[in-house]
Amino acid sequence: MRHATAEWVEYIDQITNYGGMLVEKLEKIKGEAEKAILMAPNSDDLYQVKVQFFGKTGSLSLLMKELGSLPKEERPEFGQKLNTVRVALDEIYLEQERKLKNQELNKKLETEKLDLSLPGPDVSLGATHPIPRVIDEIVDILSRIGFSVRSGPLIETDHYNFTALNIPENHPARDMQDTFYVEQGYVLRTHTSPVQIHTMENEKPPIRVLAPGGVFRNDSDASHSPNFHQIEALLIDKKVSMSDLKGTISFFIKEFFGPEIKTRFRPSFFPFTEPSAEVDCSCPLCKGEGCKMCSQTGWVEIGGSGLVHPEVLKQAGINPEEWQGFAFGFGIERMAIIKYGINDIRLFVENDVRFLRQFES
Amino acid sequence: MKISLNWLSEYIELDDYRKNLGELSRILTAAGLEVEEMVSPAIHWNHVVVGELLEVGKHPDADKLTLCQVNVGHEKPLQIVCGAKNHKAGDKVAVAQVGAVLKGDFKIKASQIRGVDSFGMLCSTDELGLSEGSEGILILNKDLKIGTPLSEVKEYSDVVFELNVTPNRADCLSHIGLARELSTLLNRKVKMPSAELKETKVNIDDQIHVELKDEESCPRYCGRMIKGVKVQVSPDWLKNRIESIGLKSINNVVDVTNYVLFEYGQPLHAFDLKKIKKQTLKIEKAKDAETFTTLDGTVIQLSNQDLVICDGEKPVALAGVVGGLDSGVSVETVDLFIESAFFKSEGVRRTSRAHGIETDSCYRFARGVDPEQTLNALNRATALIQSCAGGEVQKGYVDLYPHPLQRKNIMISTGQVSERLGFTVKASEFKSWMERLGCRVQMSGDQFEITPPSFRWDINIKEDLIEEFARLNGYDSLSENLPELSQEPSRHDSMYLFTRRVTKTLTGLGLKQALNYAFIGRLDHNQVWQNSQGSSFFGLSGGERAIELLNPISDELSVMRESLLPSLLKNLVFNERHGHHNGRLFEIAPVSLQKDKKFLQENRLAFVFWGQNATLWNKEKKNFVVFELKSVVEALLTSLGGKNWRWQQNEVVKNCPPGFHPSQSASLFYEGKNIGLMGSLHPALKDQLKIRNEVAWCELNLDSLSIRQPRSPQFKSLAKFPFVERDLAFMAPQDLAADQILTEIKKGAGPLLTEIKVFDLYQDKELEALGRKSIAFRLRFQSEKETLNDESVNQLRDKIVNSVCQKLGLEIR
Repeated sequence: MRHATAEWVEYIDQITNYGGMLVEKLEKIKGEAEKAILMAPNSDDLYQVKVQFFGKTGSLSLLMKELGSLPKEERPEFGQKLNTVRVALDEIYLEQERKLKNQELNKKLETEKLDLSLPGPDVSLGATHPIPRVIDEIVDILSRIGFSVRSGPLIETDHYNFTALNIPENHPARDMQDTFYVEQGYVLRTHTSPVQIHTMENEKPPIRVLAPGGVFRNDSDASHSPNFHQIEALLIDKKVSMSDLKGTISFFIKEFFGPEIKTRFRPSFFPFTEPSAEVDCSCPLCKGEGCKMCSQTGWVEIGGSGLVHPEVLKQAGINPEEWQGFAFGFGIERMAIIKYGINDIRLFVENDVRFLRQFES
Repeated sequence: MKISLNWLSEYIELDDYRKNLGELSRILTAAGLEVEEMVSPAIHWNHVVVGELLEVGKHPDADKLTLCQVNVGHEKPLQIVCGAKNHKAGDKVAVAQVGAVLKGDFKIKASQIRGVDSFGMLCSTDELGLSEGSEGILILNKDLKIGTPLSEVKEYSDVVFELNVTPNRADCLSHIGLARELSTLLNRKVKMPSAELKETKVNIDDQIHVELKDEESCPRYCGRMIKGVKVQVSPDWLKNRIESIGLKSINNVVDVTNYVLFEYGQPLHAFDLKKIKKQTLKIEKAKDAETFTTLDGTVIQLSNQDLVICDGEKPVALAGVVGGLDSGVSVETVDLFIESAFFKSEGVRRTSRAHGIETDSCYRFARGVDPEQTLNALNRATALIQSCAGGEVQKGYVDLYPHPLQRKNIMISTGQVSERLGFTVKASEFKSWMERLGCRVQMSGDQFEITPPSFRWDINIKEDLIEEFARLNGYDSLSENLPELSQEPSRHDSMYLFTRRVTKTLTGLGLKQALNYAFIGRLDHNQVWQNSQGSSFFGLSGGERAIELLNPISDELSVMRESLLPSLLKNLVFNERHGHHNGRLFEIAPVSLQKDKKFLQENRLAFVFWGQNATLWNKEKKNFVVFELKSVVEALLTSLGGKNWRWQQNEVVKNCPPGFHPSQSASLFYEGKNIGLMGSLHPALKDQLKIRNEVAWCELNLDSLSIRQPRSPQFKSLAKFPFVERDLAFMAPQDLAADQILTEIKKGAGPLLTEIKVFDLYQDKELEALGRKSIAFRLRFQSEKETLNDESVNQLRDKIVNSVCQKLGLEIR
């Protein structure tokens, strides 16, 4: 009870000088708040300070509520005072907050250091095998001048592989190609040329086709593979000439090896073309200066070509007086060897990951 | 074929090219006769000169050495120690002086041999690079001037060309033939060799009866008779010529027939006249099943397709192919009948192939010889035999040529030549080249009637003449023109495009493309698939049996592959042996199958994955390679716009091939069709091949996969309303496939379920003991019409749980 009486006395005191008391209180809170703000060690504690003084139930907010109990005339003065304190504290607070946040950010930047010399996780790049890669590149170049891809079977009849290409039985030209035999009348195609015949039988001229694919020769040593790849081009049209052939091949070679690479024709013999020409291009490796790739000649051999032999056209049911054509065939491995500088044909079929990886780019 | 420049020079002037052999080689190559190699031993003969042996004495300190004083044209003679025995004072020898560097980087230096100074070396043919192995030093021609560099002495400094003669140019398979070609190219004259003979008075016709019974196969048959020859070693000049082109010298008679073969290109045969029964020779077809023993003792069985030369009793030669053992020339031979004939190429070739006999003779007959040189070559050979082996040439000769061969005329105009070559050809130019070529030319304006020469069997139609003109005029003069496109380009082969698309996707997923031979070993396939039918349970066609090659290179490359996996397995083993412990390979290729006596092809796509993909430096959890492979296959299917597929695991077990792990393999059903098999490598095969890393592989039928391709993407409006997710975890029997639960969830959920994923699979020891596992799914619900509220989604979830638990007997966790 004595206790209660003492409180009561204090209360009476207060209300007798209510205004002065509030000012005093404000000064006190201001002092405490200033101290607390400046003492806050980090932004989290600083925030707590904010709550303690400015929050809904913070001391400044409570003081604000007491404003209502002041006599009307005293209210504006005190209100102004309160506001001044508030603004001043706010400024201090923001300044302190900026300072702390900055300190903390700097610390974070320091502690979050990553050693970027460490590798990232492996991202595996895929790689197209150089043979299909070369084929696709050739197809893309020749597609631009109207050639489109055709295909044919690996096991061919003797007729399509030889006879229809003007290589009759008992003709010495059959010795030019070491043939794999499957059974009587069937061979593994020795060239992509049979696709010419299939196309001429199935389509009407004019014709512009390409036949990429695997071919077979019974010959295996350091520079010969028993199963390699060729691409064959056939054009059938009216009044086709050797200069059309040379122009087409020359365009192709410049696109494939580079604009400075020249094309050379040498007379040769293929039973299915007449005239026939062996195709050389100036060595892309040494630019014709002479190197190991071109055996110091400055020229590399890349394939055979010629005007389609009238006998071949006749066999395929095309009248050679009305239509003529040209054909050329390149060895894909050979093109890849020249283009990429590959030095061993075995690499093409070993599928050594180290080899394939070189074609990721 | 080998051509000796010295020999060639007997028929055409080529001395101006000796110092510029490169140009000669270029000219021949540009004309279609590719010079593959040029061997000139004289390039190693710096400081090698002609010397004369002034004294040949004994080495003071060695019995086997001689001490020679050699005059090489200097003031003082050179002192040279020599180990040979075949030299004597007065001989001219080849002296390699100090400073010479002979073949094989053999440097000649001043030296002391057993205490005696020696200033050079007396050379053998071997040391000069003229032969392989030789006895003694080379004794030179006595008339040579002392001090002359040996490289300037024509007879010793020959150059040998290796010429690649295409099958159409049989006319260039001899020295005269090549001289004739060069005469066309260089516009020079050909000097034909002489054939002077002295004949006896006894007529040949009185001594032998030659009957041509098959004119069709043998249009011309000539022969001469020489009696009393002495078969012995050939004279040096003949021996040198024969050896210069890589042949072995045998005796004077055989060497002469070979010499004329390589001089004229006309094969000859010398019979031992005494062995010819009943003084009769008949050119006729053999009797069926008749036997014949060839020169080398091989007994062959003839057929009535084979043309033979018979004496009064039996065949003595297989016409144009090979002589008989009994009637050939031997050291005892004294009387000869020399045959020179024109046998038709088809017949010779058929016989040669049928009996597997290849000779220089049939090589030429099969390509076509000159029917107008038959007699000239015979006379030349007869004269040479007489000069080298003596004997008496009997009067006259046999020449059976009932119907001289006529060449068909070819009609051509320069307009046609111009059209085919793409530039304007002048009539005069064309005429000039045709004449130089040896054609008979009749010209009227720009129209020509041309008769090809008898030695050019390859010229028959106007295109052949166009080629000849282009070749002689120079292919370099052809212009370059891009032909105009006269129609719309056609479509690419669809499988080509599809393959390219698949390759692009797979390489984009980080895979490396492999490429293998189309043939493999006989056992390679069965190791993976049991037999040819083994793959057929999985949507991969099987053949009746493997397609075997009749003439394979080796057992490892003897059958056409029916699957790509055996090749990929080899690639994997190869890579592991080279220390590559992970790899992701795929291959696209056709396989070959035999069905109903037909050969079929099927396009396939196969994968092999091995080892863990390299991870980050902080260790991550290992993944099953087979799941990685599954993801890649599914990514591919997605990229192709594939609609639905499922993996079927249970049925695989029944027919599981030996290459696949029975509990880790599944076949793939794509849009309702079985298209292939995927799984882990069978552990037994893995052990057998000593493979260390985890392996998964897969083969798909690319033809089935390419159905209705290409598909273009079909746009669907993006969802307007948010999705809601719910997780469900079930306690399920251990061997219940996740797929089954998934299927039930989908059934129960209906169209609002837009995505579902397995996000957790859990099993501890306790669960294991109970034969259970916990499997959790994350379900995503979304409506196209409204925002779903929690309550309706929860209701749907409960419905799903009930139906799944009821149907599969699961518990929700």
